[in-house]
Amino acid sequence: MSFVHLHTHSPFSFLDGASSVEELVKKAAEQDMPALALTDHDNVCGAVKFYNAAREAGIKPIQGVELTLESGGHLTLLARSSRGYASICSLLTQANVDNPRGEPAAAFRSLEGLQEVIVLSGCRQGEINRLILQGQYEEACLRAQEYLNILGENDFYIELQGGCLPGDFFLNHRLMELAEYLDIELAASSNVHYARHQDFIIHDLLTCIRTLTRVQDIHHLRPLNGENYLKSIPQMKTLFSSFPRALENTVRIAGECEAVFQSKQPHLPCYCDTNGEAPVRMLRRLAFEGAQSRYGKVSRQVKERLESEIEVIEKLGFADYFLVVWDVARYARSRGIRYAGRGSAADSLVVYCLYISEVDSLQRGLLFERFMSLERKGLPDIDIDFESRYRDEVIDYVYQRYGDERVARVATYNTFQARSAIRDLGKALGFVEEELSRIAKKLPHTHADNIRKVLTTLPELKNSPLQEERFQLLLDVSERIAGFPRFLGTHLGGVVISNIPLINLTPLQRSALGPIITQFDKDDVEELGLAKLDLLPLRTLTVISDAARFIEESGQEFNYEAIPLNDRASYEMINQGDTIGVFQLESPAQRALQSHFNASHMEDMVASMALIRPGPIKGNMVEPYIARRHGQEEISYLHPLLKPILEKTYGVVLFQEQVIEIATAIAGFSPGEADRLRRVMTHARSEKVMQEIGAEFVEQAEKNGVAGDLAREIFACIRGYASYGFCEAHAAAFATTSFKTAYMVKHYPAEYYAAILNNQPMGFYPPYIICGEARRRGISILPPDVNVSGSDFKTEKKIAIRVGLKQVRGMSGDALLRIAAERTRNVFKSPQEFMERSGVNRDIMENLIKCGALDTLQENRRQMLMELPAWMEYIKNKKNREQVLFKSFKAGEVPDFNRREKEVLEREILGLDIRNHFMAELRSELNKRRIYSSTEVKKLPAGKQVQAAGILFRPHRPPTRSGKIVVFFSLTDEFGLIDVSVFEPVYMKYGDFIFGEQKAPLLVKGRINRRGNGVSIMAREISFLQM
Amino acid sequence: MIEKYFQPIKVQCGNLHRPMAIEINQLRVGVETILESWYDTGCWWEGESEKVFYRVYCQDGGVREIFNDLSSGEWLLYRVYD
Repeated sequence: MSFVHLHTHSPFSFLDGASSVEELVKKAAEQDMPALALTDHDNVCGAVKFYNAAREAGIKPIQGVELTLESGGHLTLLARSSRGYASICSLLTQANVDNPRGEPAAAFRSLEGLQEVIVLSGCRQGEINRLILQGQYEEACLRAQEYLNILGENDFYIELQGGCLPGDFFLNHRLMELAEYLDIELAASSNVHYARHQDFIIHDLLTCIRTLTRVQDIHHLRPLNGENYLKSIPQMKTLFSSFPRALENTVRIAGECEAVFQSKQPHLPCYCDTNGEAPVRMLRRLAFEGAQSRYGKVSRQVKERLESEIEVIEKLGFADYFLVVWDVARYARSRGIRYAGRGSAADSLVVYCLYISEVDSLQRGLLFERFMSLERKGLPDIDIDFESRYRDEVIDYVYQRYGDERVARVATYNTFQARSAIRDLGKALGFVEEELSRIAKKLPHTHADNIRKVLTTLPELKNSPLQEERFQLLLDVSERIAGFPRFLGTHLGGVVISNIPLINLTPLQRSALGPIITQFDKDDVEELGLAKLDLLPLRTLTVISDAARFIEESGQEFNYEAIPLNDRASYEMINQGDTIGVFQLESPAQRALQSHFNASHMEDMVASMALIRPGPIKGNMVEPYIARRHGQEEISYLHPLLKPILEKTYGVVLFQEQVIEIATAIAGFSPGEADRLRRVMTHARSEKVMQEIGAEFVEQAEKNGVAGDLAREIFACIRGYASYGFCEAHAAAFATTSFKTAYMVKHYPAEYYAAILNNQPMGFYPPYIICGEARRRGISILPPDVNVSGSDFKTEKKIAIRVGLKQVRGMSGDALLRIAAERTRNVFKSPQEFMERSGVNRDIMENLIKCGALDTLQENRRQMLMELPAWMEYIKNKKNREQVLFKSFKAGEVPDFNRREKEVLEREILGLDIRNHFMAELRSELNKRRIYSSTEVKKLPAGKQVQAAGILFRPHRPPTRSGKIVVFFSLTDEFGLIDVSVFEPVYMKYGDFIFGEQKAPLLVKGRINRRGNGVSIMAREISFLQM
Repeated sequence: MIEKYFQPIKVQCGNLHRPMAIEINQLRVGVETILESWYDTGCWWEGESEKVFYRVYCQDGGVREIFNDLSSGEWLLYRVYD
């Protein structure tokens, strides 16, 4: 006799499943079970992974769910077919959307809508079980009869559970009697929550997290024992020896259920506004109209390229998808919303001609096949960045245009990482929260199963309490939950649009932020046949718009689209590494690259986008590229056919498109086949697969007239680079925006930096560094002023940035509105009058005084703070029509804060320095001690031993080819940034100063390193600055 | 009335290690029926071992709960139903 587990929870039961989907499937397959059902609580998030894992293991996946009813009762639902699955999705959508978020509940009557679904009566939380355990046998019988009436005798089973709990014997026998009385079949289950018995403690701890309890606490939802594991067939036979029919029925049910994702039919969106014109015809018309508009005249080359792309699009059935994206871009344009297509879609000339992207793929020689080909089975995926503040408006348009039932945002699974695992599991294990928080904060952002490794490799963790014996269990259990989903989130920009109502494919539910989301992430929606469209918010585009407005408001003429892409001054600035605020060029690594890269045209910008990425850095492509570019290394090609492909990147394989071109030119692959090769090379993990592809490449190359040895050498070369390459279309899409923002920084620094300050958080640098950079460029930062400042930062006379009132800590939206309204009527004449008219509360008033926003009304901040309680009393009494005598201090009676005290207050309240950087206060002392500033460091010769000090900023450990750790960070001072490199031996000694608690500015001793225009310190010694 | 004990006892087991007779204070009583059985992992975080409990109806007419500590193999009388 066989058996099938029909009631199984995975981690997608969110804190109620302790073994991964793959582990559960593996265990079932090892036990020779023919099938397994997945029944997570009120969701099917694990369905795609489950389907794939089961298929791979050779067992049948049965998709189900454990449904919560409005009564709180549970039911086990199993889809007989795809139709049954759709029925479950529909029911779950209703249960989710009709109830508060996180509390899905299905109405009992909604079960009437189920079709092709088998229902088991559920666990101890099932309605029938609960009634029996309460001694209400008659009511239990009536309820069972109601289920039977709704679901029918073929689709309803009484579930017997073998959880080895007190009362099981009694409960199962009462259930059997009831089933016999009503002539209902039985089905046995083990209510699986984990694969192995020993995983019980993980389940218990996850339950503690879910119920906000600690292991020492008693809670009715905590499991009594470890019997909810995936038991073997013999174990189930022993457990249900009195109920053999219940075991047999599980196999019968499994036999009646089909796997639900068998037809991999795509569900691409339908552009339904063609006025009878065939979608492909319309796409062709729009593409050619666009080409006419882009080029003035459609050349033969353009025509041929468009025709060939459209042919592929037509054959793949993607014409509607392109029209939908065109429609979205058209909407944004019509509303004046800035956008820019990104990603591999920019490889398409159709995309360019539809005005989805600004990258001219033809002019750049980009390959359409990198984006799409007949050989490629995947669905199209176009990404567009929109001005962040209007992105939601664009998504609203998509909902409105294609219908709520066909559009949803894509979910993300927020998973346990090192910090969250330590915090949550540690709390459940009874550790003190404050201690856990301190420990977790010191951990890097890494996987939960990587904690032990970082404890042994990172010096700042050598004294971590996690090294102690008492934390070893916590580390063990953290490893076990690595990657488990914690909750569902919303993908930043992923939207799916389907040709059929989405509830046929996925349950929908409300996200924390409000939008309706699928229960699947970006990878899983594609497996469901849904094409994703990424509508991403990009703050840089908002900054561009805001800065353009500032520029125009100051009476200057400005046309972003007409920015000259060969502006010398901008390139000179880039070549100095002065790129703070420049899109994609502002990171320390990019600044370092630019300071010796000597960019002079757009091709350099495109290469820059691709070079500073983990791949090229790990692949050691950066230095050879620069050396060849500067003529310090000979440029050679293994075969003359490679020259035209690699010439623009100095013989280095930098872009993914080049791999495709090489495979086409050398081995005669079709571009589609070549892209398949690229993808396999990028993702292949096994040497065997790589060797097979290599043999195919060489064989084809030989047929193409290339000698075998040479073909092997070329293959080895592209193999070495393929996994590091970057998509050229994406780099090109970013490069234009990058250069244009550099132009704005160079020529309109006040306007551009004010816009950046208004769009925080964004980019690499916080406001205080942006302000420092603006000051370095001669822009004054002016304090907030209740009579002058708006809510936001704004520019004054092109040479100053006025801090907005929104920057004041604790400021509320209401207060801002009242201040603006009152000021429109009349300027404020005194602090008391300001307080009375604006009605701001005491906290806001105090902060306004402290940061200097009332200085123009009264100079003495300390006196204002002292008088504040009396002003409040005065206002209160005045409202109550009581006579009050108002007493203020005489001039000079209360001494004001000194300059240093005011700077401290401003920094505390505004989060930035109005007058000067903190380090400026220490400068005279630092000078005496020969500790250099950032300006001085930049003038020193290479090799000089120096000491410099500043506030630590953004330490990070990028990946390296050797695997050795190199730490980069910046020190900030009143003049700018000092970049510091720390190699592994120094880091192992001083790592705690870099990644530990920052108690003071850092003092770095080391050697000056110069590369081109770039200067950095190679650290030898690091400590806190003692003053 | 239910009284709680933690008294070591001797147990004669049958098929599947299920109790057939118990010996308390040198008095042997046969087990008529096993009314219930269940597992309890106890305070695992304190190193407590797993136990299997039986509620048995004994031939002397008494209902008792006994348990077997799965780590030590020891049998203990847990509760007596009066």
